[in-house]
Amino acid sequence: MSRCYRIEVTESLRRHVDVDDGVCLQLELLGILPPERMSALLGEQLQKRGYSLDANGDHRKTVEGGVNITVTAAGEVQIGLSDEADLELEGTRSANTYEEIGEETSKKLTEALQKELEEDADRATEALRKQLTQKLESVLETVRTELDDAVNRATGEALKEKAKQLGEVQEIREDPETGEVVIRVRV
Amino acid sequence: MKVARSEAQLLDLTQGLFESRAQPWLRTSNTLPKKISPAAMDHLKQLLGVGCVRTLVGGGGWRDESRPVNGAVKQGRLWERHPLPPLAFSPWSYRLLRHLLTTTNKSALAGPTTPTLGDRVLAFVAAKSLHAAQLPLDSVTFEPLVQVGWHLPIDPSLLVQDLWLFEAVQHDLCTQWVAHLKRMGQQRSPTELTQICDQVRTCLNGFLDIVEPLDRRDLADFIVDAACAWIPADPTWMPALNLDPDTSLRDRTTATRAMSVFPELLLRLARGIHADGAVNFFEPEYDASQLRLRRWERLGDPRIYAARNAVERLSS
Repeated sequence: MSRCYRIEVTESLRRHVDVDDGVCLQLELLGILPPERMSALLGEQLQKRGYSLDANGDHRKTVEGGVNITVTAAGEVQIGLSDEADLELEGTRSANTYEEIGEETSKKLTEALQKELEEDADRATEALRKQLTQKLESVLETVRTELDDAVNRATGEALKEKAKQLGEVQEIREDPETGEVVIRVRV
Repeated sequence: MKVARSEAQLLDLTQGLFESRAQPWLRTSNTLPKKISPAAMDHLKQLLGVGCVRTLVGGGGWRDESRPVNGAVKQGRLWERHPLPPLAFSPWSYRLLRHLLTTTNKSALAGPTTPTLGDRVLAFVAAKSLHAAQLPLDSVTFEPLVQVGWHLPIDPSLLVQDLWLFEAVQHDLCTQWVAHLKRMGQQRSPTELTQICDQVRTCLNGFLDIVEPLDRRDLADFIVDAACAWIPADPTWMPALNLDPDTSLRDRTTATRAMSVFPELLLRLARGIHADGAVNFFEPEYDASQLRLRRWERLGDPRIYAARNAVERLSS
């Protein structure tokens, strides 16, 4: 009479995962002054808003939730967030068999369990990525508004400089709320 | 006329392809003997002949319109503008019908070595039915009308042959493109949408690259007509998007930018039209230019502004 054996397999999976998400934007700077000057004016505005200039000439800032913002001299903006995690997953599977050694059953169980753990790890990675995306989305609007404001102010400053080049500036009216600038120039 | 049951199925499938009611036959696999009777073959020839003529005439060939022909503008119906070749079918047409009736997955079928006019029109109507039945178009992708209608890679060597065929199927192409654009707006996966947009860009730009030097920009009328149906005369318009909010922001941004492909194509056409407006009345190209300008007018400036604004906003 054959005997029934219970085979139990335990597998663990350790994985280091890096997740990141981000967007690229292009700032629209009007060509009121030469590009280098426009870029410098934008840089001044960005520094007023907490950005620091690095060795490559890019302006960088890290905001709430660890979101990194980089503005290049060409006006390209990279907003990104990255995270990493060490996943440690463990699972157990068992089956009944009539084989005493049960190598075949054990192999099948191990393979199925490894596949399951891989899928769990993928799901956990995806969940981490979703969290990251949500964090990024929550600050994106604020970052966009801040950058738009910086561009508007830089454009206003450029207009003032241009006006001075054109003739005698008689009056400058500026609305600090909206950033609207009215310049009267005697040419 | 008496035919076997299996032959009747083949005949019904053939007629169904031309009447857009072939899906039930396409979704099933049926048996057909190696040979069909002469009576069934005669009837099949009759169905194919009538079906192809109806497709070409009913699809747009009946219109009394002006089109550039060999450097001059010619007015009339399709058969008055062009000396049409005789309608012939190669054995491939029969192989295709047999393939459509007897296989389940409608997998690839080698194209004809020298496609005849009949083969090409049959391939086009078969593509419409296969697409409606959500089946692969693999068996008919050799045909440029199918390539342009379903944003597939273009074979320029075959496309330039019998270009007048495109005149006859403008309405069908427009209908396909309006449906493609709506489907693109409903796409949930950003990566898939990006992939589709890339295919659209390659296909339609490839098509324009071929027809523009031949002075046949009028063959891209279906793009303008699809734009008329898709883009409202509203400067704040943006293409509808239905991307899965759980996907990464990077993928969604890429897909959103890729969605500017169709408005960008319109702007490409608009640049050509701008050049047409500068042609003086004493220049030989004046008539053809005026013809293109008249065709373009139906799109209207507000739609062009809407397309331009959309391109700017989608890429910012």
